[in-house]
Amino acid sequence: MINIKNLCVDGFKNIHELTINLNKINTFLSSNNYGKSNVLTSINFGFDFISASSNDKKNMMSWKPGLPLNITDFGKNFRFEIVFECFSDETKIVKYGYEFAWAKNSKQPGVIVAEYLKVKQNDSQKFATFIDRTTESAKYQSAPKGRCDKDIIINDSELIINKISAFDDLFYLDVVSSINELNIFVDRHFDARELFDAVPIIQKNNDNLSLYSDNNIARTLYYLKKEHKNKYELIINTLMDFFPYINDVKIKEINLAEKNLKVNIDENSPFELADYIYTLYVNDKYMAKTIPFNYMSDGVKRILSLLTYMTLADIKGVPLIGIEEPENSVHPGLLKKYIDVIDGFMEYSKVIITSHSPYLINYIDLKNLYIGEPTSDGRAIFKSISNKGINKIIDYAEEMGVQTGEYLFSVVSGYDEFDLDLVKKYLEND
Amino acid sequence: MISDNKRILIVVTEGPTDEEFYKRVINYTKAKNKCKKFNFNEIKYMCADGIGNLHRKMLAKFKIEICNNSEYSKYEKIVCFCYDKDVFKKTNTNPPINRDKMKKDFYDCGASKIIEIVADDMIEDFFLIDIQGIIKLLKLGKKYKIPQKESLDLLKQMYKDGNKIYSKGTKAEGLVDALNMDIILSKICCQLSLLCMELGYCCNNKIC
Repeated sequence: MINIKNLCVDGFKNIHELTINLNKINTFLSSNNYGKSNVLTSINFGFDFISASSNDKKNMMSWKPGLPLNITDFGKNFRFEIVFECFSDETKIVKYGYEFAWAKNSKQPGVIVAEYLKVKQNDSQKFATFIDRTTESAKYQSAPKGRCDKDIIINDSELIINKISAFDDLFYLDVVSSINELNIFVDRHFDARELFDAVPIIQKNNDNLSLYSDNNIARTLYYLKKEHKNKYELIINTLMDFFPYINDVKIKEINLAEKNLKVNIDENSPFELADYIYTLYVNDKYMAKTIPFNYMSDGVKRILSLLTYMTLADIKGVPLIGIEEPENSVHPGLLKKYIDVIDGFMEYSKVIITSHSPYLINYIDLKNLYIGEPTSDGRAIFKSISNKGINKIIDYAEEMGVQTGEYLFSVVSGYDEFDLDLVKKYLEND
Repeated sequence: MISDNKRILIVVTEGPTDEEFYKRVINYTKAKNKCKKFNFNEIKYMCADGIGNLHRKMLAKFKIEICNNSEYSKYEKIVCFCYDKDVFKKTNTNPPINRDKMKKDFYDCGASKIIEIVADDMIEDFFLIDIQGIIKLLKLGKKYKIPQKESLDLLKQMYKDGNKIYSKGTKAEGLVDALNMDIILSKICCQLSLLCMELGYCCNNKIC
């Protein structure tokens, strides 16, 4: 288990020097087309790059949609850094980062130009360096009493952190393993309808509780009920609390073997015909009979899918979840409960939310809010709000007789030059 | 201008669970007093549930539904604000409620008298007085070990242990009905005395 404290990303799309000091719920707010989605994509990319194979890393370093195309930051190197607490025999603070130059063309592929790993005991002041890589050298520390001076041969599309994970006797293998296992889940199911379709084709050796496979919600809930009954009950109770007209949710298991289905799937394919499919039904107190869950509204589907994914993330120990516009299809009156539910569901994982809803922002601690600073060059520069800024925002909202969410949306929209100046004044400056 | 005997009580709460709680308090008090007639011809409840700013929302409802309503034009209008002590504290979310401004605005609008029931610190502390009722509601079992937490945090944890989420200010289904009012009112009688007196009951802590 790890606890991510801090993340830094730079040189991805229009994201410029983003630093997030992670609390349990962290929210990003900006005007349209500013770069909120790019925040989640860049973090996802940064995590994926660590676990990608050398070939996949090559492809990622030439992934055109990620390359900064902005005039000011054009072609800027991608940088990613994560600081986390690692709980093994003793709690350690780990700082790991890397940097690569994007591929220029097919003859000039991407190159990893820097990588570092620094570790300190929780109560210690000073970090010890275990990996130190520049364009000139690549070194790591091999023994507890040594220094970070052991050369390692590494190619331009490899990370040292991947290579040394095979060194069984490495004294900081726990830290190395935790970095190699880092992952994030980003939910972008604005339209959750397809998640409720019965799916007869599944991956071979399917993990029924995977966050990343194509399991439908009914299959996932069936296995949650079987293996994590309390978590399942929490999901269903919470759904019924959101929508009191739902009396009960039932999962129907259909044995496909009995149906004698004939499906042609190549035996080398990673997919197979499932033995069972699962569908959801609802007892709705206004309906004369049980109805398929598919009949429910998009908002009900989005909430059930999010509750399910948040539960899986916590079970699987995913340290970070990204949720894009959780308010989508959800009545504003439910958003207070929504935030409390996200907070209550996440025992272990932390959450990054992007939002377009002033009502949602009304319930967010302003200390955990990141606002897109108005820029004249198209870069996305997100900053947190200073303590002084928080007081000013609340004073302004009070003076205008509105909630902070409404006020913030009005200034971030930048209707006049006062608004733009105010936003800048509220933000933390280096 | 105001009739001698026509009075309306408007109970203003922050959320639906609070509203349910004060409704039950008032009904219970009546029952305990052998259903003696209240000092009011009518009692209305206003809840600031959902979106928006409590002050403005409640003021607008009071103005439009009560003061501008010809039915109540000759009524003496008594407003009872029921809220937590902490709504006056500064937080990092929204502006705190300006109690004096709110009172002034209600008086300017037509309130004849305003009383305040302020839960110290939160209404959840009232609920937790009957912790056994909550344990039963959440089916936590007789051997349930009460977490070492307080107030809202304790209630949230108990809900979580019962595989539910407690969200302050939103409806908590079944919670108020599960509470034993005898136990609760015996502990908060003094805090409710202003309300009881307006209702026409003065038990000097003897009945509850």
